[in-house]
Amino acid sequence: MTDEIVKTGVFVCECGGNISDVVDCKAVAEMAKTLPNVVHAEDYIFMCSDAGQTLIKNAIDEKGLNRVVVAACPPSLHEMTFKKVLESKDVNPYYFEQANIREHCSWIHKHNSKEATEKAKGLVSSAVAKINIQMELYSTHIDPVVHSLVIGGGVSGLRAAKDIARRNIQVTLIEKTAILGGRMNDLDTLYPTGDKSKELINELIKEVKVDERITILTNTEMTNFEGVVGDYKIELTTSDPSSTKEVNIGAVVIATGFKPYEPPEGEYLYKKSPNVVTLPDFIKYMEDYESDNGFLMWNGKPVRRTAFIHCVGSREEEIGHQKEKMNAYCSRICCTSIMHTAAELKEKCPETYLYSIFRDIRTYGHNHEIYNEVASETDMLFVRYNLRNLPQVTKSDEFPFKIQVKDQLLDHLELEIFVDLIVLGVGMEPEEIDDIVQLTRVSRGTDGFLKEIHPKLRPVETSVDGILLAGTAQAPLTSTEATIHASAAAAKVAVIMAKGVSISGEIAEINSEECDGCGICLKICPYEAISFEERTDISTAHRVAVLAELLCKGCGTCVSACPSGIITAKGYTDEQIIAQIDAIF
Amino acid sequence: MKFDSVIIGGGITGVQSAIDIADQGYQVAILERESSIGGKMVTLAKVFPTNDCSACIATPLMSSANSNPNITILTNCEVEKVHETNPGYRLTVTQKPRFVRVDDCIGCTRCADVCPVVIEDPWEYNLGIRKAIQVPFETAIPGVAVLIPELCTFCGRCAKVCPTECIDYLDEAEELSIQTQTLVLATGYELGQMDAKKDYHGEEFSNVIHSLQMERIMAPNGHYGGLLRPSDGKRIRSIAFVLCAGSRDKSIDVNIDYCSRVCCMYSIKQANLLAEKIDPENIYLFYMDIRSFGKGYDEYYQATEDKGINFVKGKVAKIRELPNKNLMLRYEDIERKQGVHEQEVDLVILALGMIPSSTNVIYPGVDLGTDKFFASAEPKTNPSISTQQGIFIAGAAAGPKDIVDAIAQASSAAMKAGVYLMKEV
Repeated sequence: MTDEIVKTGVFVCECGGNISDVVDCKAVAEMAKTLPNVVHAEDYIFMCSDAGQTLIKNAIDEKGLNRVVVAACPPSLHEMTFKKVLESKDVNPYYFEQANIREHCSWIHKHNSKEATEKAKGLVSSAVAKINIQMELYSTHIDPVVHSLVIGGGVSGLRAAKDIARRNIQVTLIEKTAILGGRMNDLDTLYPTGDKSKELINELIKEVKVDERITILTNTEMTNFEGVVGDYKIELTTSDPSSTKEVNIGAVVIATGFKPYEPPEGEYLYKKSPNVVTLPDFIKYMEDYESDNGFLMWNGKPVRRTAFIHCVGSREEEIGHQKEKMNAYCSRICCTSIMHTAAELKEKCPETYLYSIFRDIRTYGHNHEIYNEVASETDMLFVRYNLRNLPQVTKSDEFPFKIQVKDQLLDHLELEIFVDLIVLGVGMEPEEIDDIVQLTRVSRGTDGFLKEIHPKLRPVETSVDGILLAGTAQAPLTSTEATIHASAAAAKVAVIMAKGVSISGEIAEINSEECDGCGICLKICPYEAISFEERTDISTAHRVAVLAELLCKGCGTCVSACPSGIITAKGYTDEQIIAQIDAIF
Repeated sequence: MKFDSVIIGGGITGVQSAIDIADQGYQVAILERESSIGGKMVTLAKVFPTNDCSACIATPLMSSANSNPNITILTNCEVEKVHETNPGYRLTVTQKPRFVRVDDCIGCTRCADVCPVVIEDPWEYNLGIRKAIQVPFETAIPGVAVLIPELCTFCGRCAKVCPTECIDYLDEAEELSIQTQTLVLATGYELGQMDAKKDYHGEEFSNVIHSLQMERIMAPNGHYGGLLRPSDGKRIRSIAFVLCAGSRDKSIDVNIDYCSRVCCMYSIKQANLLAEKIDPENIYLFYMDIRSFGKGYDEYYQATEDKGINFVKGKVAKIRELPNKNLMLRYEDIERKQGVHEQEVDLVILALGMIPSSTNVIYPGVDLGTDKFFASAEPKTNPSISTQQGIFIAGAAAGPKDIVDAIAQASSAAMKAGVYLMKEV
């Protein structure tokens, strides 16, 4: 800490009523004026707004503030916003502290205004006590390696790779199988453009292949991952021809895609009968199919009636399904895919009668009027089931199957539908990427898909800096949506390369001189940021722990584990925490 | 004026796009026709599926665009003409007079305090009031006052109290000529018509409102300061949501024949939040199909249904107004109790679909789809490029979208612009 006089300003946010409807913000600001070193305190309707930020800037100018506390929403929302305000006024951004009086006060204690206000006062006192003795910290700037890694050679990975390369950034594109193109290789025509999926994907593959800035490695997986955004050291292992190489990478795009849900044996008689088929397999079967008698032929026999069952492996809940693993989410694409496939089937095989056994028809896409087309122009019969009455498929005599279903549209009338063929509208599941998740430590949601940092405003970024998400690795998407995400992820890579990377100053500090070399911190550090250094000049140990500062994320695990108490969490020192507690009680 | 990229529309899509282009090192301008950026997102109460406070997450994004040294924000600007200059485009833009000097105004709001003119506030979707001169809304950028000349009586009171003497009654429209290499069209959407389905009497009955109006009623900074209905300020105790109102309905002339993708979810969200304040059994949601297809959305729908809200599969045929201004809905419940039923509620929300923002501007070479949204040249593998080189499309201007899908496309269009600016085609 420097010798300057600490002058702290406190700004209490009303959050447009989110806080002030419960907490007496004026009273909190008045109380703050009585705290040590506080030379300015006020409240305002939206501190995060431009006008609110101007209040802070003006107070810095007029009162010479060198510490700022904002009592508002959680720091996860606005810490960066306010730190930038300090920066713009040449105040060290680490001299900022945010007290969360919204989630912790007004929202959780909305029926007890008085106590919520008292609690807010406590949190503000605590924040002031902490920031008053904050040490001076600095971020580290890194110029990133202008080389990015794209994992996955499907449509999303290809789109991202091409876009990134066109910003003159080197790209290594790895694909774990032998061929590029991913799931789009398995599709026939695409709705609503009628484009041939294979032609589109081949065009994109060609664009990627001719680009000299892109290195394509098929049969290749990531086998080691370390380092920090802007400077990752990544090991790539190729199985055919067998080789391993290390690449230095600035940012990574994960585009590992999805796999179709594979029903367990017996679900709707799947695998018990050859006449139960999943939608992707059916699409492949239909691709070059031509009927000579108006019927679809299946195993040598004409299909008189086909039933499409929707939501297989999607939107599952305990009230209907007795399964160990259930997918609660909607897979987004299956309704349109079923309708499109049904329309194609009807065109090729007009004699085959169609049923749609559905829950909701979700043909939501732009220009996706296929539902209307199928409903009005074919004789497809729509039967609506719900979770309490899942369709029951049993073997039958005259037709191979009998489907029993209570039609929600016909007053729960129990229908018996006899069909020759059942097509299961299976959903999407994330591709098997346990290894990538383990290496990179990106998070997964409860649905198994990779988790974005904010589901509303930051859909392609992850909690690991410099790792972006493209396409269906993050959630079920159409190819249109997946390529939008791919280009968005590419944009984030381009921004990292253009702007550089800033590493937080809130990290651990090891006083190696006092270390007795027990090694507990080495084992416990989740980021492998601590290593031993041989030392002969220190009496306490022959080896001491040292920190690789760029790798440290400031999680504090080593701080609490060190038996000698010689590791400090910068920005969260013991003195600061104790001062915070003292300020409240 | 000269920029590498000009973003048409300062809603959340335009703002995100601008940031992602500027952060690649280019000079960007945002052209916004209203007097503040922020678009529709800042008017929302909360957003699904996180129930985040909308203004709380939109405002920092607006603010970071404003503080970005590579971004110029031009409000009150209407694009008149777009001329292809090869390379690039020249825009003729009219900047409407603000009657307030932006650099001098400190947003103190004293002018609004003394202004005697009180009118319906379009920012509150006409549920609240505004003055003839005021800062557009609390978190506006720029956060300075604007005077509406059609409403002003030029009484002079505001000029007298203004501490910085920044009000200029003689301000005039200015014609701007802007040269740019690339354009991102992020002009957003408008809601469909309230009176599209005559039997709902959306324009006539004061307690039949649209979903954005409901957002303002529910917003913590909303004008009513509580769950009160428009006709008489009575506390709302029962409510009905009518989904696909004016959409997917062949019985009406101005039918929106496509699915607008967001109406199910925003209605479910409003029902979800209302269930905390009123008895869930008094909340009715009439639907055709529930299209909660986004990430985490179906789970959100299930959680909302589990609160005990009445999800009724069926279309509302008619809405009648009772003498006490309550509304009687006539509907068929297809799923649970067959036949025609009636239900009385305090307030009806029509979940209107999305149509493209109205404009007279023709962008050379940019095709529109049959639904009048901007069309993509490669919808399957490169959806954010328009049919014209150097012009990119994002957000609801390229088809109905929710916020997260719009944000993703905003970044995607920014990538396309960044690539185009590398001079590589």
